This record gives sequence, structure tokens and C-alpha cells, in this order.
Amino acid sequence: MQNDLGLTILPDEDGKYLATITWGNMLLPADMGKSNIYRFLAREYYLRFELAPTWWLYAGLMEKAFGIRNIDHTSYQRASQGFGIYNNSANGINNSQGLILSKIEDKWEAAFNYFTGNPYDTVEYKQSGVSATTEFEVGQQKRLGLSAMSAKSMALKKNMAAMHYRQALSKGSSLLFEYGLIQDQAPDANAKTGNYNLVEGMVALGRGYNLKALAERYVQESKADSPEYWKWGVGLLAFPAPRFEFRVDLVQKRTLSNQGANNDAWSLQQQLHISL
Amino acid sequence: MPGLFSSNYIFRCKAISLIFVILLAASAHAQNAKSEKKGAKPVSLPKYHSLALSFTSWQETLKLTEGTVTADAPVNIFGNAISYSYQNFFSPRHGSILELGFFSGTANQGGIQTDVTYSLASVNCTAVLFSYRYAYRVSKAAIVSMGLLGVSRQLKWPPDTVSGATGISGSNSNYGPLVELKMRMSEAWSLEQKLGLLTRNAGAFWSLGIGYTF
Repeated sequence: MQNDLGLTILPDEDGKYLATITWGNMLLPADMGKSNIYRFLAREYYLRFELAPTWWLYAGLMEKAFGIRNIDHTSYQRASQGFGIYNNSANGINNSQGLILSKIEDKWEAAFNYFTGNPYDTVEYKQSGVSATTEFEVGQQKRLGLSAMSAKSMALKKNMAAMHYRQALSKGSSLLFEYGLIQDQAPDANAKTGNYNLVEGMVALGRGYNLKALAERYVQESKADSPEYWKWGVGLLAFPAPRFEFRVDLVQKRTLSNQGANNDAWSLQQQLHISL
Repeated sequence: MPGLFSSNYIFRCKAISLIFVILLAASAHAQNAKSEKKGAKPVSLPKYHSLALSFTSWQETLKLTEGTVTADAPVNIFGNAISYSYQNFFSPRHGSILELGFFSGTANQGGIQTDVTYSLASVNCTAVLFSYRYAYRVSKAAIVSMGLLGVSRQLKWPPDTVSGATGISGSNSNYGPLVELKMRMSEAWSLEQKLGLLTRNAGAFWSLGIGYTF
């Protein structure tokens, strides 16, 4: 379970400067109901400056720039890439201290990120590196993007590249797609290269209500006998009242392998966002 | 166990790659989303036939028998399906979809059981898929349909060469509810996601595919 409380300050009317901070805690399901509730921490904080028209600089603890930003931290498009929400993970964590330089034009945008690690990670898991992402218009309401990242901690060396695509189909309806490669190398071990993909469709059912269909796949190592992890889901994204956002997803997990089979796993995921 | 270059593995990889290549190539024909004004009624589809290539999977339960001992094991069936569908819209929003497909893939079972030893993992599987669904056109970009799925499949589990254990999974003829979301990326190309449930010793059914309307 994740609980967040955020504050954003825009000191000027033009929005040239911005300061934001988010406090939150992440409670592992196994720890729910116990007394050792993790304390609230400042999990994200950064300053944003407009250096010149279309040029932006971010400094602080923030999400690394790579691929499509997916709010589902359990997604196969986030977890194995090192964009999880729990500290001390070998793959890494989504938020890292650093700098992001961003250039935004009408038809394209790009960002370069230098990061030095999450302050709450122990030394072994503190991940530093660089990443870059770009996205450009390839047609009306269609954007194609490329991303790359190289990161290293004492626990793991990680290189990634991805291609992503977004298309607005009609008002409130959209399509997201991402395909990427992940190369992981643990100390004193050979590098393993895997791949993943995400396909997500969203359809406006009515004002403030959207149907979501999801398909995700992850392969840790691109070999014939490596299991493929699939997720399949349908969900609802709703805005039932001003400042309220509600998400619910029914997700099925299945592992396809020529080594055997397991029973499907089902989960019901919910998110509630309230803006003050 | 199929090797890296086994025909099944290559076919599956090719199909998945084709889906993602078509996803991007189709964008050249995309509709002008801005032209869809609020409250405007969607126009009728000018074309009603479509072909689709999809990656498809469902789960069955394998009943294993070794002498007087029995055990259950999950089976995952996955592969590629090619299908033809006929869409008949009798009003701007309401209609029906009739779909007929052919599936070819692999069935894998849950490995060595504690009570019954059955070590065979991969078995070829072919199936004919049939579906008839009520369709609702949410917008000119999306159609949601729901109805009945029928599966007639060929799958035989050979006896285990060591223990002599035998197994039967699911049912040769199966059926259940099916829901599909079809998202039109252009006039001709669409992304199709299906989710269903097979009822006779089986479980969830899903597929992800690319359709071409003509």
C-alpha cells in the first residue's frame, strides 16, 4: 500500500519557477496489520526553473527520465526496469537525486537525466547513472519516442533501451505501447539481456469514465526456455467528482514456459487520488 | 523441450514482432481525432469484414491418473490464431460480430506432481475458435463486444514413459463468456484485446491481436 501527501508551490504567475514535495510511505502487504508501519518520508522533492524559453532544469529527488511514465508501480514496464517504489532493491527505485535538463518544443521534446541515487537506499543499492528520453510527433495525435539508461550500483549494473508510442484515437481514448530491452549484470556474473512490452488501450465510456485494457509481458533473459511473464487486465479510470480520481483494475498473471505451468494469479488493484 | 530455433518458438516470436511492427506502421492511416466533436454520432462502418492475427492463451486443468492415485495440474495453452470476423451493425451504435478462427500452439503442464509423476511438458495443440458477440460502438475509435466463445480443440497427453501415468485436460469442446475491446488505429487497422472464461475444466482465455478491416 502506498500513501502520499504532496504540496506544490508556484511562486510566480508565469510558472517559471516551481517547488514541490511529496511525503509518503510504502507498506509491504506482509507488514499490514503489524506495528512496524514504515514512517513517512519525503519521497520526492525538486525545484524547477525555466532557464530560457522551452528549456527547463529540474533539481532534487525525482523520477528518472525513461519511457512512458506508468502510474502502476507493479507493472512489468516499471518494476524490472528499476522504477519500483521500495528502497534497497537491486533493480533500483523510481526516484533518485539528480538533475534533469528538458527541452520542449511543439513537435518534439527531449530530456537528459543525471542521477546519483536515492538517499534512503543503503550504500549497496544506491544507484547512479544517466538516462535520456525523447519523443517526437510522427502524425496528428501520434508520438514516437526513444529512451536509454545506464545505471550502476554495487548490487547490479543495468543498461536499458526502449521504444515507445502514444496515439490519441479520439476524445478520451488512447493507445500506449512500449517495447524495451534490459541488460542486467550482477557482480561476478554474466550479463543477462531480457525484454518487455506494454500495450494499454483506454476508451472513454462517458464523461469522466474510461475503460482500460492492459497487456504486459516480461522475459528476464531472451532465450527459448525462459519463462514469459504475462499480465492481462481490464479496469476503470473514473473522475466521479472534481479533484477525485479513482482507478480499479482486475489483473490476471500467467507464466508461459516450456518447463511447466502454474495456476493463474488474480489481483484487484485500486488507487484513489484526491487533489486539494 | 523446443530449442531456440524450433518452429513453434520462431513462429511465436514472428507473430509478436508482427503485431508490434503493424502497431507503428498503421499510424499513417490514422483518423483525425480532432474532427470528432462532442455529441456527434459516429458514422457507420463502410467495411464489415476483417482478418486478425493474435497471440492467444487459455488455461485448463489436467486430471492425472497413476494406478489408483489421481492429481490435478494446471495447463497453459498458448500460440497464434488467425481469424475472420463479420461485423453487422444494425444501428450506428449497436450490432453483432461473428468470428471464426484457427489456433495452433503448445500446451504445457505443471511439471512433476507430488502424488502422480508425469514429466511431459510440451504437447502440440490445435483448435477452432468460434464467437458470436453483441457489439456496442463506444465511439468511432472503439467497439466493445461481449458474447459467447466456443473452442473445439485437439490435444492428447501421451502416457508418461516412466510411471505410465495418463492425463486428460479440459474438454475437447469448451465454451464460456468473452469480452473484446477493439480499438481502431486507422480506417483499416485495429488493436484487439479479448478476455474470456472457459467453463469446462478450464480457466481464463485471452488474446492480443491486430485486425485488418476490408
